[in-house]
Amino acid sequence: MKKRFDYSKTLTIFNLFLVPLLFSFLIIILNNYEKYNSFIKTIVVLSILISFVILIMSFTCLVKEKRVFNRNHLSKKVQLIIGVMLFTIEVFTIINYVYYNDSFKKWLIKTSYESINHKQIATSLYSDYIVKNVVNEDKEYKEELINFDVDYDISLYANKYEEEILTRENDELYKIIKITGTTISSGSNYVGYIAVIYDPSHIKLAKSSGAGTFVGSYGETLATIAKKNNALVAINAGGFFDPNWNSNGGIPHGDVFINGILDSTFKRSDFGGGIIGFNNDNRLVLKRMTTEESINMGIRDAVDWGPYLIVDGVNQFENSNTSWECARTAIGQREDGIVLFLVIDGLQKHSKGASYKDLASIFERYGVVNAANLDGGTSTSMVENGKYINSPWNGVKPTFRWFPNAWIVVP
Amino acid sequence: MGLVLIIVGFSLIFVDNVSAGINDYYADVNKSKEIMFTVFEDYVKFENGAIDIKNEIVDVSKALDIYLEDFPIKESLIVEKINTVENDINNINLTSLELINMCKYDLNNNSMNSKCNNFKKNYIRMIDSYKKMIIVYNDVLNSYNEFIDKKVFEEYVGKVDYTVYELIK
Repeated sequence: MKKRFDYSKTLTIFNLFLVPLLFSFLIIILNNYEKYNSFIKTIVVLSILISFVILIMSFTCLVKEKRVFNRNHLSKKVQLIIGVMLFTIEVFTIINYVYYNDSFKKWLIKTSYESINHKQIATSLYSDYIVKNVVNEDKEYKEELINFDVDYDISLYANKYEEEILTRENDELYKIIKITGTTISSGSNYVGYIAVIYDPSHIKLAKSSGAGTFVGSYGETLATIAKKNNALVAINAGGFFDPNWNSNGGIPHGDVFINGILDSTFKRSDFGGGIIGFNNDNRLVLKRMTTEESINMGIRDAVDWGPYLIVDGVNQFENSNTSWECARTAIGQREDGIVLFLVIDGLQKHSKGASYKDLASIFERYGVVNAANLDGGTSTSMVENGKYINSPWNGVKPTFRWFPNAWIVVP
Repeated sequence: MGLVLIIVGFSLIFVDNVSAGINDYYADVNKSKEIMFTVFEDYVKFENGAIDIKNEIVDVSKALDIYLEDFPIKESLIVEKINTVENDINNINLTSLELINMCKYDLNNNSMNSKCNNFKKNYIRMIDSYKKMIIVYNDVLNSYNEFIDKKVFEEYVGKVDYTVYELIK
């Protein structure tokens, strides 16, 4: 009996310690539910149950075997048991208090996280969520990233002239480029304008209302022709019959085609050249030919003038300098179809003018493969939206001549 | 007496274990501090090198802004600049490899993590920027060949060692 009693007492005391400890462990497990596998969970729960059962049984045994309760006082063993019970409850409370204590929690997690291999101290006691919160609660460091975005402003243009021609905003139909330079032969300064027309189908030949080969025919100023035809840009076109340099610009030289129809035909000029016009494919045609040939070729709009500056990529003035420097008007087309109207002011302080060789050279720079001279001198004019942008000059004063026709750009 | 010996024995084992655990912990912490120090030091080296490389790439981008007809004259100068970028990237690779190794340690130090993350991002961006530079250069080169209508220049092949890049990616 005595032996059994001692056994019961030991088990009671042992389980009084064990049950709260196991409960503490259970709380930790419940806080880290994912980290512990079901085997451990089962073992702990079973251990608690077994310990609890053993505790009850051993305590019952203890009570039955010995009279532990006395009306006036508790036996020493019961006092010991109660004391141990109170102590274990206290231990249990303290463990739980410490476990949930914020400062302890942070200290433990941060201390273990300072190490490389001892992080499990924190991770086995607390959930990942808590650990992550504690670890990341400090101000987040954000180093600045280096900006490796390099802006490649690569144009891939052959040269600056190509770039000037090909850069345009919002698919504009045309653009005006002001050019300056010095002439090849004399080195004099010149100032001029290039109208770059991106779609040659918008280029038409417009005529003055009174132009023709009849007696009394008359021309109009370039601004008037442009306004009447709602032109965005206009330049003077072919030469005209001008006896004594004093005509009213009504009779154009050579064949004139407008919209595929022969509009007029008069004595061809002696400047060389021939037909300067566009066919139905909007290609600039430079060919000396008869009226019939022009009709057969399907010329859309044309004047008859010259000389030709560049034909099929060959500079006609490469080795020659037969031309004098004065105001010039010319037209040219690049391989890609872009058409250039060119005017160079002449005989003025700001611009002495240019020779045919200069014109051909300017056109070559801009990639023109076919180009022809148009009527120059006092006639040289360019109008944009109804206003002259160059300075037409008769050698003495500004002069706005009358023309039988003009190359215009319509919207 | 036997019980006392057992208790003393267990106590000694317990104290020894605790002492070994503490020593192990401190050795661990010292190693982590050493790693952090290396990362901080190498990161500064890497960052300075990367900024230089970035400036050199910008320099190449400016050198590439030319007209095609000028390309033959400037080609050797551009290649020289590209070679400088490549050499500097290859030089920085040693530091970068060390950073990769150090950054493998999960020390949960925000500053170190941030540096490691930035290093990786910056390295990738640096190589991508270098790759783009080579692509643009070859575009210019091919455009010149087309412009001349002849294969004057062979496509440029980069000389950068991509080991670190592959490791990070």
